[in-house]
Amino acid sequence: MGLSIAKMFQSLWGHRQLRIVMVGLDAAGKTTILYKVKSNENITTTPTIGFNLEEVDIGSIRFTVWDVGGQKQIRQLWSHYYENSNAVIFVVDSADTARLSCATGTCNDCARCELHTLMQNDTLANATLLVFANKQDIPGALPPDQVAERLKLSDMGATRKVHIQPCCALQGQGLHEGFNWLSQNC
Amino acid sequence: MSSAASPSQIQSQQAKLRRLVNCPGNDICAECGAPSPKWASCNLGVLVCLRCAGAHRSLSTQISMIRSLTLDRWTDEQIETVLSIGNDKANEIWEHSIPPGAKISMQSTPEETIAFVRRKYVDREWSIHSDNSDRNNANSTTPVPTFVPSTTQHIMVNQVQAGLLTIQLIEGVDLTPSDPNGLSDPYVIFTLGTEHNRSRTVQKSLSPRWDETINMRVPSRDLPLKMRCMDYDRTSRDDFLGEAALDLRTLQDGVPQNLWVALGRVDRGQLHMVLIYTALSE
Repeated sequence: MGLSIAKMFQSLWGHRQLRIVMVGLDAAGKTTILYKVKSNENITTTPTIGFNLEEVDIGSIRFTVWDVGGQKQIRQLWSHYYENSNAVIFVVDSADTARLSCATGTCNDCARCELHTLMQNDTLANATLLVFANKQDIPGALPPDQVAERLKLSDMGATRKVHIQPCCALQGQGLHEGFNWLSQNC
Repeated sequence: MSSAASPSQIQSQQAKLRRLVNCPGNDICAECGAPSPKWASCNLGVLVCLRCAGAHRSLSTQISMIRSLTLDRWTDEQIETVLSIGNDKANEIWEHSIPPGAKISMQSTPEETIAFVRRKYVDREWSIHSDNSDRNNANSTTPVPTFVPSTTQHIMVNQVQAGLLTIQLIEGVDLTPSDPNGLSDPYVIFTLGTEHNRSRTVQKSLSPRWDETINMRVPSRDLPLKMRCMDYDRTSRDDFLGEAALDLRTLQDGVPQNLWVALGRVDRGQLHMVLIYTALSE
């Protein structure tokens, strides 16, 4: 039944396509998220040197997801992947509290600094922002409201659509909720 | 970008990171032995290859914080930590009692690699300072304390000792054959609380003669002395030849006890040994 409705929608409008760039600090879980939503597999990842590119169909939407490596030097390359992106998925390790934010807001190496630098980019002026507060299963992980506070998501500008979604990529919890939010807000 | 590191800072960091590569044992991956590792756990102080870096990252940053030697920014403190530990020192601690064959290689699958680093750093199965109560609560939420060198010197001191057990392992008889040649390459692992000790391996024998003395610390006489007889295999997992446990409370202080111990969970085999318990603090 669900399938036939999806097919009907497809035949009416075809697949809607959204271009997504997924970034975040190293070891946040970006690649794990990508392949969990793509094929419901827990793949064994190594640090991403460069990027992974996958098309993921959720409902009637075809997401083209660029999963870009998070090491400090690679982050300088993120800008090459922004162009024409409908949305940014920013992934954080909610248990890596030391790197969520810095004291000064100018370290350029914590999640908050990187996120704010990223979203100031002109090409992303209209992009929707989804934050995955990943690794919620790890003891000591901050709940989403505290992650939002540490990231200063309230400073993202009045017009930008922003959402924080708690998730656990290994178990798949929260991922489809996040993508569904994107499909309704892009 | 106002506070980005200046070129000279980056250069001096690169110079320091190059020194890391020259530490003893850092020329190969601490886990699988792959040459020229380019990644490091900046709290555990080991250098690892890309694949093993992936396995470390599955442990959560509370256990291991992985940084690239070439792609990440390091704090001076992190560099100092890795400089002061290095692969050789770290493995003396974390692989202190590792049985032969348990180590992974470059050919190991990603799943085997993850299982290995879990046993090594989360369960601390082979660690010099592994603590039994922790092991029993392998799922406990207690994070492994960040490993800094100052704790290494105190590891042995912290253990409260009730006594010393001297094991004179003499021989085995009628052991189970487990190799195609109808023989075995037996050795014995003794476990007392958290401490493990293994005898040497006698090649191709079902009635090996070890004539070897092994000393073990006894944290409490309530702990049993466990022994496991194994067959060493160069290319595959070692085979099980039987096990047994002894109650140390029956031993009299300072009196040698001559024992023949029947191996359990197999249908044949005995070990001959003399045990001497020496009380230290009672």
